[in-house]
Amino acid sequence: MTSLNIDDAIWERIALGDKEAYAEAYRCYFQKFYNYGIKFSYDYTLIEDTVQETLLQIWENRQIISTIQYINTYYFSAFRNKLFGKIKQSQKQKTGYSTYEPEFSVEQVIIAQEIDEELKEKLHNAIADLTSRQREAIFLRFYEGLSFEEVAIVLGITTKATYKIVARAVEELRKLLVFDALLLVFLFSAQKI
Amino acid sequence: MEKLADFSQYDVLHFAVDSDFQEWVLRSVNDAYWKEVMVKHPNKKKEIEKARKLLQSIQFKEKFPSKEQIEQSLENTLAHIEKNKKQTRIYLYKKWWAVAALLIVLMGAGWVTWKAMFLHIPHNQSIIVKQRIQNDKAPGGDKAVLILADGTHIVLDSAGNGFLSQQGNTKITKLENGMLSYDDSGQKPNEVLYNSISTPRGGQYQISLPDGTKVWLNSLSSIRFPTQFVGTERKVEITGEVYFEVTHDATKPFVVQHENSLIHVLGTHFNINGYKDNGKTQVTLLEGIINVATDNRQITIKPAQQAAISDNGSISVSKDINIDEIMAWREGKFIFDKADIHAIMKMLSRWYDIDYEVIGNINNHFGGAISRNVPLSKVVQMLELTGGVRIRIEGDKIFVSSK
Repeated sequence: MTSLNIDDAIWERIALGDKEAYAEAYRCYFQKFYNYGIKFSYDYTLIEDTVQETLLQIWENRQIISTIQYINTYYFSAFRNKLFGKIKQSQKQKTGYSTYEPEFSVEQVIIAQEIDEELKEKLHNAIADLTSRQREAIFLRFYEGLSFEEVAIVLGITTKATYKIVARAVEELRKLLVFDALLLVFLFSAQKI
Repeated sequence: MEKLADFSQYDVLHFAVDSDFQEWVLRSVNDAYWKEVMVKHPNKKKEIEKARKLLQSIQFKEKFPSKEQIEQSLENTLAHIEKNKKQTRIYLYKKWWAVAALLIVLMGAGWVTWKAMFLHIPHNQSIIVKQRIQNDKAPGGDKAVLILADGTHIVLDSAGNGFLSQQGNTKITKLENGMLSYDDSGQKPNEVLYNSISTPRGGQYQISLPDGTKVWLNSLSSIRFPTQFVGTERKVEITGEVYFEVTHDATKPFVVQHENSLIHVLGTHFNINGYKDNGKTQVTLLEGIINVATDNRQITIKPAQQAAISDNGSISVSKDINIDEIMAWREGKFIFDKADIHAIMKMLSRWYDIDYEVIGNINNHFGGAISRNVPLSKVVQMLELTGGVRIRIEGDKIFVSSK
């Protein structure tokens, strides 16, 4: 599910009122946004509603498409804003508190390495130690393939800050994976004996 | 990407955070280039391999909707677009009607005795109303245009956020909550640049000025302000209706200019209703203290007081005001307290982006409260129920007549 961003030609057609182009973008973004939304909430109905609203906005705002510099990112950010607003609202209704901030769930990150349980747990802890924002930044950068600049726009922070977030996250994981490499060497030599 | 960069100083982490390297590992971009790097830097093979493993080790759970789900949603949305072609905005909220119905019931008990009203309402009232509304209107929302010093127009709405523009030393960013923020990083400006933000009919917007002052614009309103406040005062110019929460700074008074009047502020919350068709400008103070001045008069008002400035520069102060009614717009509500039909229609006209015509003389006064986030038909229904008027919506116009 990578590089599914809509190309400029499709956007141009949408701007001119082409419904087929819109349907194409709709199918692509529906998957992307849904999969993104799940990282913050398991309320599937809420996510689907938010996706649908955001996608409708693409059609309604088609006349201004040409004025938006980073159009793909624009709607990522629009979806995120809407979703966060709704999650907060539903939390407020449930608990009465308005301070809740949606979190990029730790369970959504997988470390794909064939390693033993102990190390897996350590990695899991390392990921849990990252901030929600760090996890989200690496998701947008690595999984969605957004550039550092685009990640910055979605998260509403500077490009420099985004780069730092990703670098810090990678460094944390590297520390553990170096350990992993040593462990493998050790196991290998132990077998030999 | 043609020339090979110097990778001799790169360690695992350098590779792992390199944007081009990431593109190659995760999306196979420039495969030939990176293969060449490995050939040219055989001693870096290990680092590259480790960095690649590291990036590939981070993965995310995936959950996608079914094909049927997507097609169903697309079908629904296209049907909505088709059905609401004439409308500016469409409602997909599954339960919006329930919310709207609830809000109608929220009408203030003090204004109307509900029970007495109900006895006289025929059961088919709402059906009749529906027939008279051929073109319902969706409510307004967060919409505005930002005009930069160089004349660039930037459309602001509830969507995307992030960095918008850099002007001189000042950076303009759209924050997650949709607010604009001006950050001058404490630097002294070379020249003072002016920006303005204006809302259309059916729009509203909130911004935060370079000094942290918060500003709410109602529909058809504008504010002009410098990107950095230099000099001895912080001066802005407005039109329409604007609510301020001014950041306190005793050394730099905040001054609002509206047509012929100047409002001097130290740090306080106040609302200015200066729509041209009001005939006068009303400045209502919620907190703090302000000084209102025209060419020929000057007056200081206290909280819960209102200064009314007329075109000729005279000012009168009123203490008998309904703050809830005045501030309702900022709370996302319409509140009418003994309001006359023209005042109400002007408000609806601005928020629902629609013209109106009052047929004949209507001297009734209206009371009630309703959310601003409901379609026009719901507000119309409330007015008909409480005010003894008949309302039709045809094309882009509302017609009001007495019953």
